[in-house]
Amino acid sequence: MFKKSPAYIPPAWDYNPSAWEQRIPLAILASIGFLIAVYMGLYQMGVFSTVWDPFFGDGTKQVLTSSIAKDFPIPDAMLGALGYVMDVVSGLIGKTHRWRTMPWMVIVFGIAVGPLGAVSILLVILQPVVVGAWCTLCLTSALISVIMISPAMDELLASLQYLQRVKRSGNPVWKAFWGNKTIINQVD
Amino acid sequence: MWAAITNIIIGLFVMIAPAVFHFNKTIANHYHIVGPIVVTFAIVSLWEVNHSARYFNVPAGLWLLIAPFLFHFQPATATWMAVICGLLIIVLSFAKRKIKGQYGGGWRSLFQKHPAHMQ
Repeated sequence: MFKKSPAYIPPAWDYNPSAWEQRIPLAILASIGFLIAVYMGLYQMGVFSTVWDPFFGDGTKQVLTSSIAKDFPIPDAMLGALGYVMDVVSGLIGKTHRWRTMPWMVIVFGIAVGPLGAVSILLVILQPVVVGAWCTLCLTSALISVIMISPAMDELLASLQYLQRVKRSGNPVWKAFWGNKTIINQVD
Repeated sequence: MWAAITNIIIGLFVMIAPAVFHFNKTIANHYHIVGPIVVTFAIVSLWEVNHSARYFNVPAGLWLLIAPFLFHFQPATATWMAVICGLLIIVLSFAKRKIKGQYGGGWRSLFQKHPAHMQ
């Protein structure tokens, strides 16, 4: 199923960070995060009248109906779900050497995973500090976001190193950013 | 690896300590803010490519070390618990492990004159 292509391994790397075995697990994790977020979002929209929380009693309810949650134009869990959709889509688009054929997509993926993880942690902190309650599913979602950060960052690093080589070779970085084929053939 | 895992456990402990030991809200806030940050950077640093992320936990640990004296934590339990956790977090954040992969020279390569991925 997974075709091994040693040529796709970036210079001075031991593996290809854009290989499917690197990207599929992240898409699966993000999909789980998406389902959790949608479930909480549907509760916030009033589709469900109760919400599941095995550890903190009505903690989830308090967090999801807090003033912070209501500060957003749409339920904040739905915004999280949207973030996970971005993770899945930007994680799956592109071939197995997209670190050089589609640097822009890798960077979009990095932006989707990095800041989403940061927002998750911010929300974890706000739960006890502002709302005064914990929420099991929110914590689970945050954990998923944090676990995704490093495995996504390696691909970002490979793309940035490629753009660094492009710059040093005197080629236009902007064109390489969008996957210019002539540059791909010239630069490793 | 073991250092990062230990820091994850300490971070989790810092998160739940206020509830277990009934610290008042003002003191609990310090624990509730630093705990998740420590857990996050410890998890991120589990992967070789982001091993350096562990240094972000040094200021987090430092905060636990000095906050009890800046904000006069009461009872004493809240003080020594923060100090011990802070110290442990800092020490463990400096623990190095053997990096097997090359990663083209890692993040620092982006700022180097002769990065590993160009040699």
